[in-house]
Formats: sequence, C-alpha cells, structure tokens
Amino acid sequence: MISNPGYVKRRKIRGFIALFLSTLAAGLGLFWLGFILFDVLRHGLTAINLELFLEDPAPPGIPGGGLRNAFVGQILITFYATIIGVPLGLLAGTFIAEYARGTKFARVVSILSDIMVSVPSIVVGTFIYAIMVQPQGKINLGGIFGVLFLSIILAIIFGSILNLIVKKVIRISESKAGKVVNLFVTLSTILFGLVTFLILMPKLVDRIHGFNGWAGASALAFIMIPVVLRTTEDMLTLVPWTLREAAFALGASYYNVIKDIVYRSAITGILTGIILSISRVAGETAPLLFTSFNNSYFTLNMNEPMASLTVTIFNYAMGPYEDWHEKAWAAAFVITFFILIVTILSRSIIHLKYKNKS
Amino acid sequence: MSENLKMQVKNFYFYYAGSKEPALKNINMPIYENRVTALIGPSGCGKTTLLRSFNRMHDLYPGNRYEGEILLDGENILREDIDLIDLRSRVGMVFQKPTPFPMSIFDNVAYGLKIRGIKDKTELSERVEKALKQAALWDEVKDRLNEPASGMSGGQQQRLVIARALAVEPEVLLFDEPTSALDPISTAKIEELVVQLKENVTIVIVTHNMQQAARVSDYTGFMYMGELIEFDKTDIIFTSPKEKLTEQYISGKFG
Repeated sequence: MISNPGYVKRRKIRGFIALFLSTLAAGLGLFWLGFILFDVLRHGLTAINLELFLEDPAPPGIPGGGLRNAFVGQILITFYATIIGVPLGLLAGTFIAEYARGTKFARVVSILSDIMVSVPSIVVGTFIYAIMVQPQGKINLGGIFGVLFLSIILAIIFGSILNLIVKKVIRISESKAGKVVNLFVTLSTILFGLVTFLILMPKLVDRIHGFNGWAGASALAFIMIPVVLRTTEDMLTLVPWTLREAAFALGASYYNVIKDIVYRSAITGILTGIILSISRVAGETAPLLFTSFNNSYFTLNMNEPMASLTVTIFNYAMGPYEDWHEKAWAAAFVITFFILIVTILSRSIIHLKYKNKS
Repeated sequence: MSENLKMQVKNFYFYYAGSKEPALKNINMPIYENRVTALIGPSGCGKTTLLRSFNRMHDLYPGNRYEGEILLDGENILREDIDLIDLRSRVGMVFQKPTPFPMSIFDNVAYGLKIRGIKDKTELSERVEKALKQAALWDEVKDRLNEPASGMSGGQQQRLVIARALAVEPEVLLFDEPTSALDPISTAKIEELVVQLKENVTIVIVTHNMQQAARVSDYTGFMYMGELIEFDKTDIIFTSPKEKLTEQYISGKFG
C-alpha cells in the first residue's frame, strides 16, 4: 500500500477549507437576497390595502388614494410588449434555427441578439425615445413607425390569406407556374402594404406624439425579442434531426414539421423562455422613463403618457412625502412577488417536463 | 414466380455538397415488386446514401447532387419538378433509431394521414388499427392508444414507426438498419415483420448484419467504396458469388 499520511492530511484540510469558503459565499449571497425579500415583504405588507388597487393617486401631500393608474398601466404596457415581442422573437428564432440553419446570416443574427440581450435597458429606452417620442412640430417619426408597423402586419395577413387561397383552391403543381404565382403573391402583398400605408398615414399619423404607452410597450418588446429569439433558437436546435427527417419521410412539408413535431418537442423550453422574458421586462424602469413616462391620472389610451409601477416606485421613493414612500414599498412588494411567482411558474414547467419524460 | 420491376437505378451517381468525388459511382440495379432487397457492405460503402436517394432525403441539405436516373414505375424520380411530398408518400422510410413523435400512440400512426387531409374519425381509427395490426403491435397497445409514444420500449417504438409508415399505404418501404439499436428479441420480431410485409409493399433494407440479409431478403446487393460490386438473388450472393470481393466480405475476411 502506498500512502503518505502527511499528504492525505493536507488534502483533507484543503478540502475542508474549500467547503467552508464556498458555503460562506453561498450563505452571504442568500443572506442579502433574503434580507431584500424580507424588507420588501415587511414594508410592503403594512402599506398594502384595497384602496391601492382601486383608487387613483391623491394630489401630492394629501394622504389616501391608490395606484390604480400604475397597476393598469403596467399591465397594459407589459401586455402589449408581449403581443409585439413574443411573436417576433418566436418567428425570428424559428427562422434562424430552421429555415436559415447553418447560414452566415443566421450566425450574424444570433450573435447580434446575444449583444442585444446585454445592451443596458436605458440605451433601449433612449433609442425608442429618439424614434418614437418626438415633440410636436417636428416630423412625427413615432407615428410613421406605428403606421408602418400596422401596414406590414396587415400586408402579412393579406399575403398569407392570398397564398392560402392560391395554393389550396387553385392547386398548382407545375414548378414554372408555381414561380409565377409566387411572384404574383409577393408583388400584390407589397402593393397592398404600400396602399394601406398611404391610406392610413394621413389618418393615423398624428394620433401619437410625445410620450406614449406604445413607445413604452415597444421599448419593452425590444428587450424581449432577443431573449425569446435566443431561447427559441436554442430549444429548437436541441430537437434531434432524425425526428425532423422521420416527419419529412412521411411526406410532411417543412411547415408541418415545424408546427407539429419541432414546436411540440420544444414547447416547454419555448414557454419557459417566454415567461422569463415577461418577468425580465416587468421589472424594467429605465426603458419606460423616456417612453411611456408617467401619468398621475388613470388612462387606458395607449397614445397618451402612461403610468407604470416601476416608474412610480422610482418617483415615489424619491419624493418628500412619507405616504409616497409607503406606496412605493407596496408597489415594490407587488412587482417583486409577481416576478417571483412567474419565475417559480416557469421553473415548475421545466420540472414537469422532466417528470413526464422519465 | 414472375418478377415485376418496381424501381430501377440507372447509371446513378451521387455527390455530397462541396465534394467533387462522387459518393456513389455508376450504380445500376433493379428493385422487384413485393420482394425484399437488401444492401450490404462495410461501413462507409454508400449503402445508406443509396437508400436515402430513393426518397430524395438528400434534398433536405442544400448542395447535394444526383446524376443518372432512378425510375419508380418507369418515372424518373430525380427530375427537378417531381413533387417530393408525393414521392415520400409513395416511398416510406424507417430509420436506424426509433423516432416516435412527441404525441400519443394513436396520433403518431395517424400523423401521415392527418397531413394528407384525412379528418374523418372513423376512417382514421380504422386505418390506424389496420396499420398497427400490420406492424404486429395492435395487441400490445390497443388499450393505451392515448398514452404518449415515448413510454414504449425501443422495439415497440420501432414497430410503431413502421406502423406509421404503413398507415399511408406506401408502395415502397425503405429500412435503414432498422434493428441496429434493438435487442435480439425485438430484432427477431422486426425481421419476421419485414418478411410478412412484402405481400403488400416492396422493401429495400440496409443492414450491417449479413445473417439478417440472408434471413429476410430475396435479392442482395453488395456495395464497396461507393460502387455496387454485385447484385443477385440472395442465395446466390451467399453461396456462390461471382466477384472475389463479395466472397471475401461474406466470409468475413474484411468489413
């Protein structure tokens, strides 16, 4: 037997030191996390009441009132951010992982979204401010972008319906005729988009000017897109190729393969990504400061400045009134626990998946 | 016993993307209707590449190139304007590893039918039952058709995949080493199945296992370095091959 008692002893000591240090580091991290959660809970719970959700803010310095405007604003902005950001991120991720798989273009987009994920959110806020929030009198870029976006969506819907009609009703099997038909569909879609844009432009462009809810939602969507894109791409890449080949061998089209096989295999991962991206933007303040700004009054109109919980916390916590501080604590409590619940939800979805597999 | 020609490979060359050297060189062979044709040969000889040309699986990856002709009922399937979805419903395929889709057993078998627009529930369940019976799986799964297919054993999954391919009633069924991931008992079941199935479909099977080729096939092609060295009736290939290379491979001198 080869043994060196001195060496074994030193090894044991080293092992103990490593264990001690890592436990200490973990404990220290957990302590502050628990401290923050406990503090939010302690202050928040005392300040929370029904009035907070049902009433609008009272004038400064006068006690009472609630934060109904901020709650509703937060929900609306986050909702519309999800509506804009999730489909774009999901479809772009699908394009990168499936149709453009392995191409240089796909790699470039993938790297760019990695960069976009780590861009400070205040940069996104100022960017959206520059293109969507403009003082009156100047060219209304925000309005133009809004109408452009709307026309593109309408054109895509128009194009898909036209495509469906052409392919399903007038069945075309010859490839030459197919190319002509594809060209026709593409051209009429573009034409439709242009005409829609020109018609809607004078009617809608001045609906939006200055700070507005859409700008806030867009800024949050901007942050969501790369997050959803990258998780979707990663999850789709994990689906084994043989599964796709098996579906192709059955005579499935690529659309069917993606919809029925790939999405279904990756659904839990994609859902988790979406939920995490929502919880990521729900806590953002910086991108909203320059876009949706704030509003002391209750509004459902996304074309106006809109209150949000995060900006309200920022303003109220800085304010001079004790009453404001309490409300800021309550708002912080609500938003923290919303994000906590959403995160736990997404974790349990992953857990569910692995439970089903075994 | 009259032999009808189902497919015919004529002066066939295949090039992988970016490669100037053909992976398959001047392949000529017949595939007879309602017979089992086996392709054997050492690793990397091109047997799977040839098999995947029969349903144009190579088209999934850009840059791959075919030359020559592969006729299916006299029609060249390598033509540019051939409808791949149509071709793949006529020529089905079963892969090396079982590939159940992430859905129930029933939906797996019904998938090929559903994407062809068959929605009628009674017709679907009739066809699913028929396919599962053909694949000798019906008795094992008839009480749990709605359970996920991932819960089945490897051998059952492979028979499920065969049932799924059979449900769309293909004319030709391609098997790519279908038993290499299975245990001996499941292997025996699949082999038995292959022999039974030739009553309804024409079968081409790629296998590493020479005994398997001898057991299940009527015709055998021996491939080496991208070329078809010899093609003949299976008993002739295994008892009195004409080529020296074939004899050496059969007797285990290399490979």
